[in-house]
Amino acid sequence: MNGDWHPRDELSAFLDGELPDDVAERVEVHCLVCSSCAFELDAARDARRNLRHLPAVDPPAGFLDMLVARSPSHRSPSHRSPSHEGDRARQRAGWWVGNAAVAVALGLVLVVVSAGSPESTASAAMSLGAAVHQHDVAVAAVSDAVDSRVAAPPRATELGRPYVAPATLAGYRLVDAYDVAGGVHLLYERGSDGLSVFETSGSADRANGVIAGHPFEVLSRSGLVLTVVGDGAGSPVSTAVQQLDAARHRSSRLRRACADVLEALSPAG
Amino acid sequence: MTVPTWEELAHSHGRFLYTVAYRLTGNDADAQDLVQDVLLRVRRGLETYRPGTLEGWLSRITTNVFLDDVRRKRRRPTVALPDDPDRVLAGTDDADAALASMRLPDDVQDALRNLPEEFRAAVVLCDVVGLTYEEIAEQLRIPVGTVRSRIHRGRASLRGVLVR
Repeated sequence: MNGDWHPRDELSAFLDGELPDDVAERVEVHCLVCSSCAFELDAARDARRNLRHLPAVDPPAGFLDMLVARSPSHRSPSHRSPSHEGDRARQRAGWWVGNAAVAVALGLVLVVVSAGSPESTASAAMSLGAAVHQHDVAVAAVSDAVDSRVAAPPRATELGRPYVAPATLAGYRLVDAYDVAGGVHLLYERGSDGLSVFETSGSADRANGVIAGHPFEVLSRSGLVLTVVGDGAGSPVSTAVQQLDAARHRSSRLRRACADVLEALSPAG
Repeated sequence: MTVPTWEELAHSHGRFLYTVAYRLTGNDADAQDLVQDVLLRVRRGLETYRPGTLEGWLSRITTNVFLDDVRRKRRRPTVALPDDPDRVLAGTDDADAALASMRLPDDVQDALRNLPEEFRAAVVLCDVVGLTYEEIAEQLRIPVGTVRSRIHRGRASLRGVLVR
């Protein structure tokens, strides 16, 4: 036997019975005379025992049911009952209208703020028509979601994949998520106030400000533009951005989901 | 043996999938994301599934999705929003945080999470899923010698944390 030989990587394989008989015998004999390898073998055995005693983990209650319920074969065509045109919808009408105006303005803003970048393209920002259309769709879908009291996280409706976003943001509750041209639009509400988070591709300088009385904040990194738009008195747009930052984990999920969307939408992706 | 429907599979193997996902990702939120992605792929691939080791097939998809995501993030790293010292970060009291706070300390899981992802995948497939080295090599598309090395070095890295 070569006295310089130490079976480092073979030690775990030895424990697992994954070595040929002759090599296993070599390892076993070596560990009888080499305290260093014997110590490492014991450590590997301890680690293995601890790992193999890890218990199974139960998913959160309702998680699997939610996934199954959200699968296409379980989703019935959405319909809007006459009731949702009632008080609740009227109550929100103010902020939807306001936010629609912001969305229209946002289309302009994103075009403007990204105009100076080589990466900027008209497709990176929503067109005016697309913004208005998305809000039309949003209003309908939000009403549907509220009426059916869907507890499951919303999903981007046309992406064919679940989209998980922060369930609450700055005290606002996520009510739906949509794929928009080149990105994602998340809708949050709090009473009669609303908050929209847009994630689109492209490039934009930070361009915070107020449009038609609605504060907004635009942040850009890594080819993604994050725009938060709110309405209502003292709209906590910056707080929402803080929370996206604070909830780093979920924020990361948000960005990752968005990156996936962009990748899926981009032929070159 | 008949091929289960997607819904049957989601219910019958959801706990297995979530366990593997949780051991790979180390946290509930990412585990949920991973399970969702896996089940979507399972839906698309169920027609091509041939009756056999269902858990082996599921663990292969789970590990590949996990490692694909890791590699994608390396290519396009997630960047935190710009720091602003004037901001006071608000606390989060959402369901995720509440769930996390309810979990008991888990030194083994913490140690596992600190392993490089490729090592973690090999260790999880071996010690959580229970695959042989040959099966792991086939799933990860790496030589058996590399599997052997990753498993041992992964376990060795856990030593400092798991010393009794």
